[in-house]
Amino acid sequence: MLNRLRGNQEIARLFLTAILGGVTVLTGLFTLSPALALDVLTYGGYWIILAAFLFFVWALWKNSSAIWQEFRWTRTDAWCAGGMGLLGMVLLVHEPSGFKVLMDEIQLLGTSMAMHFERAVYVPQRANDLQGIFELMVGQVDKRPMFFPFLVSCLHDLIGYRPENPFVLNAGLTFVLLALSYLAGRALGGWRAGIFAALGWVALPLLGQNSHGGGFEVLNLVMFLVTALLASWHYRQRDAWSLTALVYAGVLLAQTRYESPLYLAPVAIVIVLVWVEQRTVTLPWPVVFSPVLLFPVVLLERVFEARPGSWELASKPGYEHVFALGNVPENLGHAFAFWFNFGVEQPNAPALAALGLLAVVLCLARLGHLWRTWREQPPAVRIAVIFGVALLAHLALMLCYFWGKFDDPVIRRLSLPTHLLFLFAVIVFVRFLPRPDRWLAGLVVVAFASLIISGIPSLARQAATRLYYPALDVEWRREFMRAWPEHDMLMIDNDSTFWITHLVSATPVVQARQRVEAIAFNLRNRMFNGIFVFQRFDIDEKTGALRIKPDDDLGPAYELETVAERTFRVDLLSRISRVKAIRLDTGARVEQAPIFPADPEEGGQERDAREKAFMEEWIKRLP
Amino acid sequence: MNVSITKTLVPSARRTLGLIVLAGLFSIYVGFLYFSSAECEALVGSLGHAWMLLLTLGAVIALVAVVRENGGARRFWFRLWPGKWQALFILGAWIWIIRMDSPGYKVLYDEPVQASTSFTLHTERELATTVHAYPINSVFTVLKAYLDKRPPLFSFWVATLHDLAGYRVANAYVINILGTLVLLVLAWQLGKRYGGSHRGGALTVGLLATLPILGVNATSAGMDLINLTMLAALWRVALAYLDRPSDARAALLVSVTALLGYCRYESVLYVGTTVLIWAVAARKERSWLLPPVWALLPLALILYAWHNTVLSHSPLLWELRPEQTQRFSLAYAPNNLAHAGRFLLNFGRSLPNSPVLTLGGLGGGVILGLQLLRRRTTLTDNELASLAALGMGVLANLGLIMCYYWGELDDPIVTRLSLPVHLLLALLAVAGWRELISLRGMTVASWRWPGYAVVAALLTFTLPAVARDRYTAGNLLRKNFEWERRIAAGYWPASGLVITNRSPLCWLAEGVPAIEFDRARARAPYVRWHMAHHSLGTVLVMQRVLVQGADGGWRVDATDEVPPNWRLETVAVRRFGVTLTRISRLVAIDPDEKDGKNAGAPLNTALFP
Repeated sequence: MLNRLRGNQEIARLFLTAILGGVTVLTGLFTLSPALALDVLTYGGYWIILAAFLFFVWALWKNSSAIWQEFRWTRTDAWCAGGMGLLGMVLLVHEPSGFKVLMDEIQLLGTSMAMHFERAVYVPQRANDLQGIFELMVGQVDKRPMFFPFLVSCLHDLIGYRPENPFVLNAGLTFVLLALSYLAGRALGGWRAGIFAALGWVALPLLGQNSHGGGFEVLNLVMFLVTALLASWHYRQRDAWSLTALVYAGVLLAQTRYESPLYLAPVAIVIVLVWVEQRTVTLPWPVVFSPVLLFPVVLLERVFEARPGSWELASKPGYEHVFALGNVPENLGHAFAFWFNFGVEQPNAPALAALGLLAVVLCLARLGHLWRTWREQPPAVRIAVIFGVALLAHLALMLCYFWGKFDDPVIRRLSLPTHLLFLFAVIVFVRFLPRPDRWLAGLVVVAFASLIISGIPSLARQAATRLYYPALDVEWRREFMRAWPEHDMLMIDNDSTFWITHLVSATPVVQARQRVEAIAFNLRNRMFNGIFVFQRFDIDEKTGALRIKPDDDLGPAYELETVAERTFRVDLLSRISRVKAIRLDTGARVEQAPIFPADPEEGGQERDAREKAFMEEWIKRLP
Repeated sequence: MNVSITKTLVPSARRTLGLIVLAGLFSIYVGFLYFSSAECEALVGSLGHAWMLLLTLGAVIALVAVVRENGGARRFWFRLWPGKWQALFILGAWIWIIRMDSPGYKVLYDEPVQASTSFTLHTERELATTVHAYPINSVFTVLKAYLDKRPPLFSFWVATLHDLAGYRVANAYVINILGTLVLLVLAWQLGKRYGGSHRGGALTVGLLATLPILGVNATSAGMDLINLTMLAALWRVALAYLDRPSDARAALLVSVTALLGYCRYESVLYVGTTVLIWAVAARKERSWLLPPVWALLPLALILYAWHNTVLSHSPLLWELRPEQTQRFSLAYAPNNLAHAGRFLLNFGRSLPNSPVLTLGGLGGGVILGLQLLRRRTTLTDNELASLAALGMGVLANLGLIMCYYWGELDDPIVTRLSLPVHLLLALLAVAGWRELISLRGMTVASWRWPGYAVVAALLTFTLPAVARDRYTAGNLLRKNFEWERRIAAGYWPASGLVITNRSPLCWLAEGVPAIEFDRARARAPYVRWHMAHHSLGTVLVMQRVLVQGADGGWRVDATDEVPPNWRLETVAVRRFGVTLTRISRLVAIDPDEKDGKNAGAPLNTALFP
């Protein structure tokens, strides 16, 4: 291959790419101090991902007319598109949109809020209305990758900031996912395979739950399919623009979920494969500089270094390592419990899981044959195998993860890439069977039956959502906000980010405990129409007595008056109370001060000075 | 009728010139000298609506004449149509600009005043601002109005939309939103002309799309957007007139100039620009080019003269600050210039400016200037003349603002006055880039580079500035009024009277009677009488509450205090910045000792509070 290189230009570019990659990794992981790394991420992260996104869109645009010319749109495709539109609606009509996985989705929304307002990457934790402007005052970088919050912030930019914009994005991405699945299936096995792939998603209630949520799972699937399809395109086109589109799709995919950098491997394999088969290296300048745009991926690792608690190991006692082979047997049991649950509590599709598992095993058994007949396989199959192996690696990683229990309400969304693996393993395996069209037709019937028999009833029951009480708790708090449409209140809540993302001033309980005098100043001076606190209580199963959770305890200084309370679980009560008065260390009891009648002697000049002095004092005592 | 400029004027041209001079002298005499201030006020009030209607109709007729001259409507539309993709681009830019900010009052209390003026024009056909109105037998009746200082064209057009579509405060936003589309189409045409191709048009529209203050005004209820649109229209018509100085185009030029003069106080300056355009055309054609329609221009501005007479005799309307005695002075210029520089070259995203537009325009101006000095410009004579004439007009306008006591362009109330400057900067940027291309022999593909600069500016400056919105989010007066309106709208039974010092005009425009506290205190017996006779409904009192010191404490603002025998029940309290606003319901007015003394004096119960 090296013999055929055009001059030394390609070698130089190759080396430059490698150097840039090395510098990116070394600088991100070792050279920068943790604090500096987080600062670079906070203030530079948005611009880096914007650059990557613009390069991607530009490269896609450059390929668009060639892609459009190659894709021969038939009447069958038109009918299928209509069908997928309907199928997408089936996924979206059964459940109201809302936050499904706490606090991930709120953190992502918070990051998108900071990106929109400040072009910075952090989750706001304290915010206040200052002179009419809702200022984000304190925050910290979140551990979650940035591409999803970036897209949400773009939506905020286009249609205005709304906490519901993530739901809008996910609803739109659902249709994109179905379309891409159809295209990928069609490339592998014709329109029947495309229909099976789309139906296979619609029959999975777990996708429906994520389509209504504010998480990044649907985007992860979309970007995976985009990258795989672009890999197939590049494998056939073998030119600079298709390579650029593929590389930047990979760069963005790597910044979608924590484990998505794994998928850079199949991207690299496809690129090298093309070089080998072409006996030449193609490296356009945008690709040379692409490693630099992976800087945020490296920097995010420093978040875990700076805050080891980010792994949340402490939440699962008995585990010492985040990833360990010893976790596999237990997690495999949980995975089977999820895939083959026939009750109401899991949003699964047993029939498709069974087919998928069988197909994966059979494909693995035929790997040898695939390797021997590699050159005879069409490009779509080769790409499917390469990316399928990556999905297997992802499954393996999840099974090694200490919290990799697919039947856990917070974790089951991590099984979505595995479901993608199942669907396409079935399609690939059917190719080896005689009369694959008939098999595919039968599979479409099975998928449709799965949708009718288990998928739609599961969507309609919404049990998976309703049995996860944190989501209901958050929805209840949103109801409270709707009852106070003016939002001119202060919320004291450990989930302060949640309120801030809904443009309500908020501060954590610990802040209220430590700064009683500041809260008292705000209460006395009517800086908010009401100061409220959100707390949770354990309910004693024998006596019904309430015991406040230690993290939610404001301490004896605060006199509270219950406004509303609700139980979402038999042993847990959520309560919103109003702060009626505060008792200071001096013994003084502070309430909201009265408004006195006018003083006829006051002058305009004095008024300006008083307001300025008060403003300065208040800023020191912001909650 | 054309006459060789080198020979003696033929009798008909002499007559026309004489007519124009006579018309001018007549206008000056009648406009400034003949009538007293009070008479002028009465004339403006009674003739204002008809005057604006005639001017608008005149412009429409002139436009129809120009269309016919150009071969009819179809051919005119064909020449106007920018192309499918270009039209989509303009539409996209328009949607982006009107989405930059939400519709609402941006400058208080200018815009509620104009809203009230348009209401009076709509219901009473009087050019005046309603300050006192009540529903009498369920008919919302204007009881008192005054002539406001603001030029009437915008209020007239809003009133016309009220006439056609029914009264709504939002009609003002509709006029401005539609006006923005017209502005972009005109800007496209001007840019295409100065840039030499449609790419110049695209760049002009793109540059304007990077300007947040344009978005703020596009969704406001103020006159500045229409002023900018009419300026762009004058610019376009001036170019058309220079290309072919026909009678129809002269008529259109005259009518657009007259209309522009009624858009903003200082826009009458552009009459000088129009005269300059005429002079250039006449010199080029070597002819006087004097159709009788020119005589209509000074006559059309008589109402402006009357209005100005009233304003000159009403120092209260000038809104001078306590330490100031003059509206205009050169002494204000240095400070204002510094603020202008701070605004135009702000890179901090807290002001609604566009650095790329400023730098592009300044750079383009320099390049164009150098090319002119070297006599190597690619612009045609007509393009140069129109750019120079209108450019001088805009600069004269800016000069006037710099000498104005309230001319700090970075002040949120004043930034809108920079709109004409931004249009000039955009066109200079386009013309300058065209010169640069010819200078360095670059191909037309190099129009991409300023395009990239516009995209980069949108992404790095405009979008973040619009998202953070510091320049309108801090508009506490607007937020205060919108909150009061929400609370009042949600209060049932509906409010029959609002007592507020900020400002009753906002409420009157909504069809809700409102008075200030001074009036309420002075006419307390009337309030009591009408409450007792159930003719007012709910009376809501909006009071400002002021902080007493660094440590807090609240007292009602002395100017917002009610008499001690008024019983109030608090409805809502909310903080805006470091003041509170308290909304209360007037429950009852207790008898006081004055009632006893005045027991024998009958109230004129035909009068309202």
